[in-house]
Amino acid sequence: MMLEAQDRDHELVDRVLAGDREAFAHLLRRHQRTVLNFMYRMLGQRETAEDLTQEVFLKAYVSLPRFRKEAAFSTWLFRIAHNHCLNALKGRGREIPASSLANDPSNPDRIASVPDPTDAAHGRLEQRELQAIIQEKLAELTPDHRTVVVLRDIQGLSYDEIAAALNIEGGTVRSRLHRARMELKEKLRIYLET
Amino acid sequence: MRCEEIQNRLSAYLEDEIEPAGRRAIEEHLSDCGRCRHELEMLRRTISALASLEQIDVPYRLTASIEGGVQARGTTWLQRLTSRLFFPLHIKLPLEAMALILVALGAVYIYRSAPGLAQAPRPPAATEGVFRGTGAGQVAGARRDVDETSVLRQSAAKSEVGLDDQAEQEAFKAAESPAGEEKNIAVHQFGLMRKEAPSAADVATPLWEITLKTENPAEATSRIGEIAESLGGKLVEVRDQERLILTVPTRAYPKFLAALKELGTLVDIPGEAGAATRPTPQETLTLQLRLVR
Repeated sequence: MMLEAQDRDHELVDRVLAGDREAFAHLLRRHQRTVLNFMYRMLGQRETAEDLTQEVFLKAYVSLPRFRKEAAFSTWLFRIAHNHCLNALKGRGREIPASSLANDPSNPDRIASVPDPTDAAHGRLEQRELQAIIQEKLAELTPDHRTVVVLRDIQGLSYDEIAAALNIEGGTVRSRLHRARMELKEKLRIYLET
Repeated sequence: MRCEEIQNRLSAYLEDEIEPAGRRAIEEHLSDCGRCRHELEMLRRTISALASLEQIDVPYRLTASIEGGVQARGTTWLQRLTSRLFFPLHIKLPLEAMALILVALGAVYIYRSAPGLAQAPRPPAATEGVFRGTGAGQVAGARRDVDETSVLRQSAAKSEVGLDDQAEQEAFKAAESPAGEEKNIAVHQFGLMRKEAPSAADVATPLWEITLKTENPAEATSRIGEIAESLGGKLVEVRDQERLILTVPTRAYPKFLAALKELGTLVDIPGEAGAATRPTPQETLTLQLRLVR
């Protein structure tokens, strides 16, 4: 199934390179949601995520002639997205302060105030509030750890796909993922224990 | 295993990435350790919570904005140009390597097909590439330029099919000989200089023509051959029993004319007024002598 999707992507890439812009619209519709959500989980701000998603696809369009079909198009797209993300975090100071997430007006998970951890213990924490907290705790991870958690546990990529997208070894993916999960577990413990 | 070791492997355990023996060891530990079981449960909840995060939808304006950006940048000619410039390396490199090998093979082939190439001195006349006559022979020389162009082409064609090495060596020697033949042909093509010995066809295209009125053409023919040889020349060919093709050393040309006058009357003598004294690029003249009664 995955190979079929990959073949379909490669076919669309060939059509784009042959001058068929409509084929790029197909690629966009197939992958825009994934890229937008990756950006959103990495940056925590919807508006910024949308801006960067646009940049990623325009960059992909211009760079398409250099795309080698050794990897899946989606993996290549994630690599571009990841680079844009890191640049945004480094260059633009877009590292989202943990305390600002819950009050970001563009954040659909926005909650009126940071919930009291004891509410969780009493089962009073709503799902929407929990999601905002998870996003907040994600932002506290280092970009490297956050990336592997987002790609693996939220986007569902395989270790190999993550390694290819980030251009790192599979062992590095595993160790980063382990540390990131352990760190998140500690950060969320108070909200997840019943 | 200690609890710390177990907990460090829980992430891999949940991913089913532990080998069977290690997995059994973890499960044995978990069955006895409530603390590690709790940590495993917390890790499961963490991963589950991450997976439960809602996906945000793509607003239509974002899709439209990206498509608009692509339209604005969608100069397909630029993409095609970029495609050519930045051909994927896995395609570009083999192509370049193949081109390099072909060039190298071509160079080796050319070098081997011209064994004297490295050693052969380059005579000044060779750079002109064509034979040029003087005086009355100028027009004929111009005609020879055209003829020799075809010879050069033939020569190039020969070089494609390969020449016999020995014949080629002889041709080189003949061309470089001090006595000299009347021509050197240099072919400059892809750095190749090729010289050829004059062929019978070349010699049979005389530069100058002389008419000799004589009572006995047959006897004159025999005598003329002897005269030419005595002067260092040669009777090359007799055509239609009345046209003789000869070579005569340029310096002996006056003597040759004088000897001919003893055999009959000369008509339209080219270069009579000091052919030997005028500078000529060749040491041997090729003549056509017409015998008339």
